[in-house]
Amino acid sequence: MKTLQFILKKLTGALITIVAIAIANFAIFRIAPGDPIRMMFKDPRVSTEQLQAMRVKFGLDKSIGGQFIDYVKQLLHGNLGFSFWQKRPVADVIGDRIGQTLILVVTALVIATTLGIILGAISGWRNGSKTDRTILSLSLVLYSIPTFAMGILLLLVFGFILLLFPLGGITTPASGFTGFMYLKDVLWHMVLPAFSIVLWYVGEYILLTRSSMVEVMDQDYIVTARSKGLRESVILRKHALRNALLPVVTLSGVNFAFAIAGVIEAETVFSWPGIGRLTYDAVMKRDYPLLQGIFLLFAVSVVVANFIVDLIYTRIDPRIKTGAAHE
Amino acid sequence: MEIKKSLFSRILITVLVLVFVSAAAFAGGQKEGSATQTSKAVDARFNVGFTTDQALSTLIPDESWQYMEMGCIFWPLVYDQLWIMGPAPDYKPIPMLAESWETKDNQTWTFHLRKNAKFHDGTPVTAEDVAFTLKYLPASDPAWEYEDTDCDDIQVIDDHTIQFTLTAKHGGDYPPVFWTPILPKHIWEPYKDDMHSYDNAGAVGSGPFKLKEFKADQYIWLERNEDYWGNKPGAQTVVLKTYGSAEARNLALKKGEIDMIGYNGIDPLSLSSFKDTQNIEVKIDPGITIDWLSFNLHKENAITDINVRKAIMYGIDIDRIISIAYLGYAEPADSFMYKELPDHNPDLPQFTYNIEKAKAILAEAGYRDTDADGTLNDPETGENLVFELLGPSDWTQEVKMITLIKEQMSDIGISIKPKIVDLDTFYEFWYAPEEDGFDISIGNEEPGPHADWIWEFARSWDNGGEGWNCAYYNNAQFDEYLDDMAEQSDRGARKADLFKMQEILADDLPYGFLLRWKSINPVRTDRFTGYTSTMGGVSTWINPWSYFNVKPAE
Repeated sequence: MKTLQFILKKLTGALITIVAIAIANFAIFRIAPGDPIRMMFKDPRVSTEQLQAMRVKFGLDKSIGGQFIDYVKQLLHGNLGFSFWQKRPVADVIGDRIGQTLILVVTALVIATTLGIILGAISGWRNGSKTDRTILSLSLVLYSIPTFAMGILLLLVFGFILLLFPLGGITTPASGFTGFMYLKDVLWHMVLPAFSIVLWYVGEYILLTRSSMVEVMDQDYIVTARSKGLRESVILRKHALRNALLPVVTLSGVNFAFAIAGVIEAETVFSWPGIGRLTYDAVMKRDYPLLQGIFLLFAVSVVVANFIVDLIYTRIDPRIKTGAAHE
Repeated sequence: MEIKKSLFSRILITVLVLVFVSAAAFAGGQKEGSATQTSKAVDARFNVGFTTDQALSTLIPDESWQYMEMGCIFWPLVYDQLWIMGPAPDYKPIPMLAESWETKDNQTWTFHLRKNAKFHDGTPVTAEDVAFTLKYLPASDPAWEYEDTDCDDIQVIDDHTIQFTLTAKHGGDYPPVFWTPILPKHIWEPYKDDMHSYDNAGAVGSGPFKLKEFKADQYIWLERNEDYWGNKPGAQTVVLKTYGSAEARNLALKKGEIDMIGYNGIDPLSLSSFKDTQNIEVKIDPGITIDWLSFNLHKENAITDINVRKAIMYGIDIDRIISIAYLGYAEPADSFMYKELPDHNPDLPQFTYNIEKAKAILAEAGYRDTDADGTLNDPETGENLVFELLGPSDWTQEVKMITLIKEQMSDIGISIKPKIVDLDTFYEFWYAPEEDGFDISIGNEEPGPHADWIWEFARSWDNGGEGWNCAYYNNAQFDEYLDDMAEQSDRGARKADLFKMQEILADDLPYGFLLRWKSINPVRTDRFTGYTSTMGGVSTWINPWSYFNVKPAE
């Protein structure tokens, strides 16, 4: 019963957040300078009548209140609107890109999290040793190199000098690959962009897991476990790491959501046609409906990721569900 | 020690397994990639590289076919035009869908179409298709509206003869209806009133290449049209690809992933990395782009004073700009007209760098540094001579130029505030001088050899010039010469008009012409030969010839 209550409470919170963000979305992009209809035309000879016709077509001739009502009505019907720039439904534009970003982000984050936890755990477990110092220095270096610079470096070394991977894109252009060959081609193209994201995030995970491990190592239950004569590997896995992972789980959820929005640099350097690059273009074109759609997606993914993290927390740390931690 | 061993051995095993699996999985992919990259052009696949911001997002024939780099390369390969401008050095009109044309009065034009042209779906191209295109395409988007396609009447005489009555007479060396893709009526008819409502996913044209596959923002895959009425291209396949940055695209050329750069070549800074590179020849051609300063004559400040504009022009050390920002790969410009063309007026006043002259002009006009802050003051308002200089961040060379101009203007007592914005915002400001978003702006265009339209930049604002006129310039006399030039069929009279127009602009200085940068194009010679150079290089909106002419290397 408590679990159900907990889930319902979290769900309600999530829904309220999404509604609030949907409303804020509408306002934010209209504050930005620049006339989106004017920006649809590079040709300066566009007439006032043509501009007005476009305004009417996209409902921008109405007052802000009228536009807001249209926006809400559309959203309630599950309609994200029509992209000014791409001249097709926003859902289609996002739909074409989201899968490509998800496959990149999920792969990269799974690898980054796994590697980060392993290296962070080793580093924390052997706090102060040569291994610890090496891993710590490495993670600080990786964490401080911008994705853009790392991307160019990876392209130069692995794409150009070693000729191991392609210089960009999601598939070999005009290859005609289908089925397994296509999948293999996509994976081949994904190695460098995913690697650049992994390198960026792995440092963060190492640092967090390490500090969490160092903290846990001083706890009484570790001393108890040792005095019981348990094997070191068992203490590390079952006692230390499990507790040290709590903040890492939180970070994973938040990172996943932010990574969808934050892979702009990786997608740009590697010309990976995903949501990140789309966001950049949509901002440049002042494509309100597309921006509203993309940011709603970001908001929903942050909220959903947090919701899932909350649920996972109840599995890892039952005190959360029961509220025992505060009792 | 036990824990260390077991953990490390597990990690080691995991990493080894991962490396092995990845190597096995990617081995095939790598082989396919390198096969297309390093071998001879077995399937005659001609690969051309663009950057992501030059790519097409849709195949709708909107202004992206005019203003996006990939757009204006794509459509002349897939669609035929009535006639096409030939390559350098003559740039003569060459019959395409129209075998011949004639006019008696420069207003009514008759075009005779060839009888063996077919669209890619097998349907014959007829005069109905041409009439349909001329009626609906310019109406669908202002980017297709030009004086030479603006018709009062279009008559289909028979399947292969069409007659246009233009709204205004059309003179000069070229027939009307320049640079217009002929669309198939049977496909476009249902969308004629809103041509943006059809995604044109199949892109059926009648040109020398057929669309095989289009991936938005990624690539366009074209196959040679084996049923083409004219000479078939040497390349069996053309792939227009995109890369995330100019650096990645340049690496792709060196690696052999692409054979040519799709637009504007490389910047001078990258040139040294291509010199003496095996299998690459660097072609350096005269530029097509002319850079200038637009002075905003709508502003209520000293920029409207011709003395200030003249002083600015004398204060600019163009040779230094060319040497620093363009590493010498540019030449000074003094008109919208290229210096080598017969219609260029050789007697235009030259604003050769002369700092003393610039200072003297300002002093004579009453500009003094009355508050001793290093910047001159306006004799009427007492305000400092401070001007905003607008430019887009995307034009890297021009941004360097702005920095240098700022430095040079301080030497003559004028303070420049650079205003660098993204490209779309730049255009919004630049084309709206009446909104006072700038005092001075960098501007550029690619007029090409057949460029009557470029003079519309100077048509009086109050006389229909609103649009391209980005200086808020007004001069009724200029408009008279412009209208006469557009209609003139007499070569001498037309030249006289153009000379006079250039003189007026040099005297009034709504635009201060700066330079014309050279086109630097490295091309792969191990896979293809026959690259065709024109002004602007081997691949521009006026030059689809490389795509038609390249042949696999022996």
